Amino acid sequence: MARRPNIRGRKSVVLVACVTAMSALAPLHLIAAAPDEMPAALTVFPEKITFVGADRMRQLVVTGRYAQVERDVTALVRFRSSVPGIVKVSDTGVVLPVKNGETELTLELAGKSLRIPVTVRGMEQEQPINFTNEIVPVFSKLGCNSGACHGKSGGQNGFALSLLGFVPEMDYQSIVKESHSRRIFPAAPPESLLLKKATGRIGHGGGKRLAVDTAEYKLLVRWIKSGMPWGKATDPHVVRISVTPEHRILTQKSRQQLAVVAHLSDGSEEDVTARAEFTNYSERLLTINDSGLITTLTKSGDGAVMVRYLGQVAVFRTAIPSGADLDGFPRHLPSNFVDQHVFAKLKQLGIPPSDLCNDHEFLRRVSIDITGTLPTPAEVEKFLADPSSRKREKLIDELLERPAYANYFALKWGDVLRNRLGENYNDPFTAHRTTNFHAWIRDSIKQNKPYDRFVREILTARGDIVGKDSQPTVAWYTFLTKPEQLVDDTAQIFLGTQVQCARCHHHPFENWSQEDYWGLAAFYSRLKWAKANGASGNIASGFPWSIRIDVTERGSVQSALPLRKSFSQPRTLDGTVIDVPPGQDPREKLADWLVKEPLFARAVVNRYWGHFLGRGIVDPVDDLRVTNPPSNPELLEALAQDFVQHQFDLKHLVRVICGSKTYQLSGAANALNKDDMQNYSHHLPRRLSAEVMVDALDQVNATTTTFNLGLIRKNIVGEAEYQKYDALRSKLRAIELPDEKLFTTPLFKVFEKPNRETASESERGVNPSLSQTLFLLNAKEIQEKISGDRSRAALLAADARPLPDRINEIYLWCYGRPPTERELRVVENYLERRTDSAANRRGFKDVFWALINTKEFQFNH
Amino acid sequence: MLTLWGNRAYSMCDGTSRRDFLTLGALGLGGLTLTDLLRLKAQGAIPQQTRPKSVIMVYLPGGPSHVDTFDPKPNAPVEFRGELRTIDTKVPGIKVSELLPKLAELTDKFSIVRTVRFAGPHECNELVTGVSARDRVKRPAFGSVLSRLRGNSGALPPYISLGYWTVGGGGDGEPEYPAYLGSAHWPFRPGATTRVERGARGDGMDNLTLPPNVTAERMAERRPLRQALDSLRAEMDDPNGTLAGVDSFTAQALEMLSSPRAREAFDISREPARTREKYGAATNLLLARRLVESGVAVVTVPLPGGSWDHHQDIFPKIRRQAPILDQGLHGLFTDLYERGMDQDVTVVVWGEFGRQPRIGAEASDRQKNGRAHWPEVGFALLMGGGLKMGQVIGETDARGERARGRPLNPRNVLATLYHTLGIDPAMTFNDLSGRPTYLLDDREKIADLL
Repeated sequence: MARRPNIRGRKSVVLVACVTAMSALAPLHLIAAAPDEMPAALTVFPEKITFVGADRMRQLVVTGRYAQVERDVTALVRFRSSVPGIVKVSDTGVVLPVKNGETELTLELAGKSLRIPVTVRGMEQEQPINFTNEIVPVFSKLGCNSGACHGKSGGQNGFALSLLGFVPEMDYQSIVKESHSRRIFPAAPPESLLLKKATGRIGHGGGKRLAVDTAEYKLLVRWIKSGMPWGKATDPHVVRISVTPEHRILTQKSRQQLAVVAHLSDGSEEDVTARAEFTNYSERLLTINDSGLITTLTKSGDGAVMVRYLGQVAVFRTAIPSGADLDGFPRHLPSNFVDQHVFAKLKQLGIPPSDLCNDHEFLRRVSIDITGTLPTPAEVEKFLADPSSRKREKLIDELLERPAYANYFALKWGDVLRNRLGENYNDPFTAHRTTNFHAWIRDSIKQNKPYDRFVREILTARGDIVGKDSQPTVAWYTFLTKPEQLVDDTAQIFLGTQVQCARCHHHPFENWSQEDYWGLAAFYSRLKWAKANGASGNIASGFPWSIRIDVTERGSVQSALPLRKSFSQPRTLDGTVIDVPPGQDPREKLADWLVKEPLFARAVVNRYWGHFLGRGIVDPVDDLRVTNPPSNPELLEALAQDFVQHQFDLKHLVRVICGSKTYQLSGAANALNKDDMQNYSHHLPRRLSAEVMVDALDQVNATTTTFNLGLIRKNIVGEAEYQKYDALRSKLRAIELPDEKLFTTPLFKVFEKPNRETASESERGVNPSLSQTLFLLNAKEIQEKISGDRSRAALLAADARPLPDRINEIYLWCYGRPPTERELRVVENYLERRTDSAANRRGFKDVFWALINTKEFQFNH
Repeated sequence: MLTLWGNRAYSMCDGTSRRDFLTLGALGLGGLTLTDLLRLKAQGAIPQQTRPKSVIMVYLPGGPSHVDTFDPKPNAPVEFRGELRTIDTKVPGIKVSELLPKLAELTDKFSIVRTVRFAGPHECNELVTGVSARDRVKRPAFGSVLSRLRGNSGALPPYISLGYWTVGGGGDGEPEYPAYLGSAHWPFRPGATTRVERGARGDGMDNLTLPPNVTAERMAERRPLRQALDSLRAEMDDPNGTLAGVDSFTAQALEMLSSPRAREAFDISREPARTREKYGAATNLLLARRLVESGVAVVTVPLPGGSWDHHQDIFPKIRRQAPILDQGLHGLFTDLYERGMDQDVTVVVWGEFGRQPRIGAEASDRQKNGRAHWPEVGFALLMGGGLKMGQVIGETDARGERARGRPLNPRNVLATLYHTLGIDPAMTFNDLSGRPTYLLDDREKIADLL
């Protein structure tokens, strides 16, 4: 391919950068489309171009449609202008205006062609500069206002810019006015301290950031020369940005040019590809340079690139298939829409799913996931013997009706709703609060209360937390005692999204501003925390005593924005300002909006998906945002829609997920899917969680755990109350416990039962550790369970049945399956040698010890 | 993928305590292949001498005030210098706070770096990994690097963490983490050191002792049985190697159980009373010494006595805490010298930043009589490791607010630690995308210490 000479002017630096990047990777002909292939058609973005003024550019993205795929051919097409001299076009498809006029640009490749009309005007007059729209992005692109540099609080060496340019007023002040205006020198703009530092002509801690003669440099010079204009209030501002294409399937070792367009408040568009920042979230898969050119590497999978410009973000997503031949690998008939979306994605990526798991694997997996409980030998035998073709669906239905389902999911919701005792040692009502709230959650799940109602009842809780007319859901307000804490938890739990960045400044990875944040906070502005009737302590100390929540009848419904002298009205995240008449609880309006917000359903289906599949479609499950895209957006959307159509029915959601073939895939990976972590091609093994582990150990060993009373003191709660809790210590299963430490046992800590200090699911530890291994191998608590006189090992040692039957039972308890022939032989050998009755009993205990310390027991797989 | 501010919603300065759950373990591919070992030996990463080099990192959680400890400003206005007096020390010209009389007698035995500049408030990650939690680039904790290089095969884990930092960072929640080195290189946490449980032995340590009914012989019979039955197929593993990691933990745990060395290393009651008394309340510094003596490469240990996040009432608090610091470090330093370990062990002592010299500069009520966060400058003490002792490195301005001249940063300190461990910080490990990645990008050592 013949190379055209570089154009001069504002794009030159960018072109140099991209040539360097390409030469470092592969010769151009190796990563371009094979020359013998003919595109069936060409398309181009944009379809027409209008330039007003010299400081403009337009990035073309030319796409060739081939037999199976679409490919970026921007760098391959030839450009011809019908009227010469009006525009210039670079190798990489950047069009720049040269002089006023109209022309038609013809794009040609392998006999196909396309035409784009181009108009250029306004070249004779310099366009006025707007500081916010044009100067601030330069600082962002050069990294000057990053959190590591002048953008951090207090700035760098006395020169402070707002983080990522979110407060242009402050930046203008810093540059133009501060330090006696020493940073700019209008008489001789290149001698301005700002430019001398940035170009490294004098010492600069950040080094040389800007080359003389680049477009950015010239823009800054022109801005200073023209008297540092701020711009007019009527100048349009950026409303959003878009990236083209938004999604594309790429091949390995190929290229894709992106174009970024800013949409302005006056309805016009501006190409900002050269000024936008690109952040690569998929360094394993691809590289991207400053001008938005992607080069893929030699791996397959999903990728994303974040694009940011003036506080707005957009994301380009890609899938890079393996290109492998899938013949001979399993193809499953979809059970429901879940499988359709998952298998379509796998097919697109060239990753085959694993086989389906067998019946005993399914039984153990689904029992743990729905009820937090291992199946008993009787259940295993019954399920394996059931000839029904619908027995898996029947099992799911049956498990959902068990009390253990409500208990297990009450534990899960209790975590994120932070149902915790906290450090409150002196309040006799503390345990009432957590046990009441826990019972309310559990009963809601048991009744299968529609999820939107469940959330509304929490959000709008009022009244006393304890006492005669207590409202259990008021407990949610115990540790969330400020509107901003409520905003953080509301967003994280119910919208699966983390907004706390926007408390102090525009969210750097989201399209959320401080106004959005404090707009949500305003919904909580009429709340009053008071002391509950009959409670002790002093609410003013800020400590979470037993509280009551009142809603004041009047009072302003607004919140003050820190650092800015303004207030925010109640406003939803989509920007709608909500009017709250006096006397109404603003939270009702908040709930009205919340349950209809698309994120609401997405967040909960994603949370449940993560629970059952080991990894959220968006992961972490409570971090949904534009810049953390779902691995399968169609699946997420379909689950959410189905959930809404079924009136927020959580049991239905569980049935859909567990009934899918996707959930029922084997954990055994095949040659092509073993590296897949996020497309659900095979089941991922997960360590049993702390509570499930305690219960499983008890179940297997026929023991009970006597929990320690973590907080209750007799002298505080009184004798009768104390007896009540004391009596429960050995009557509860671990998954039935109400809070983080009313009842506790050492294993909880080692296996990381969360302390419920945050609303984040990731507070629950899921990873194995050396401490856990040591605990299971050797802790006193484990030894006691195995070795007690009434332990299952002791019972089976004394049992009169033939040895193979007893070994079979051990395996059914521990693994939910019969032993293999080899396993049976190994265990038989070990026990037969020990004929003396004491030695035989020890032998049985050794077998339990050995099995408990295997991966098959410790993992849900 | 990327979490900017971490997910611990309310950190220490909001009044809640650090987390007190025990482990944040994880795992992955353990150990090294023989080829790796030979190559590393050839590179000098694994020292040939009998006593391997080690590091004790003592941290003052919350960020200690530098002007009230090792960088006093007696001539600054009272709203900067505070109420504490300044005393002379063993080395003429070096002055420290009056609350550190024992260390004042030892200033020839350690060096004070006065101009460490930190990335931001409570950036604990930066002290162990060299990069801020807010940085998109992830790097492993230096202890995890040692764990990877030295292998995980001894009676004791190579990297032991005896406490928790003020805040964790990023999506990982914990500053001491292995990043792409594989989750077998998380620090081993032998027990809790929370306020509630201080003094109690940790769970992990209890489990190092075999119960009375399990004799060593019986253990020897059980082990092969377990091995024979632990047969979950390798194809069931996930791409992170979680199951393989459990295998490596199991092998190591069984090794620790069968050797008395591990238990004894954790048992400070084996020390003579005279030695224990030297350390005062800071008995976990004595534990750290025992651990490096038993071959642990890296021990991180918080100074007991509470948080140094002194937003309010700094002087009464520092009067309570500084004596623990003074006695504890005096005990540790003199103990290491007396045992002839000062060339092999490097001790670094610091917190995640300094504190604002102007008292109560941030006007809100809670800041009264306190000093606010001050990442601009803070101190680090270094002792041993063959470094040059008895110096003050760097100088702050008259009010202790900023460095005069170019400040140092935590990466310079880590590069110096790597130097004492015989590891070139320019060595690379492949990150998760297979790209060779330096241990530290900024590898400049503190020249005055070498």
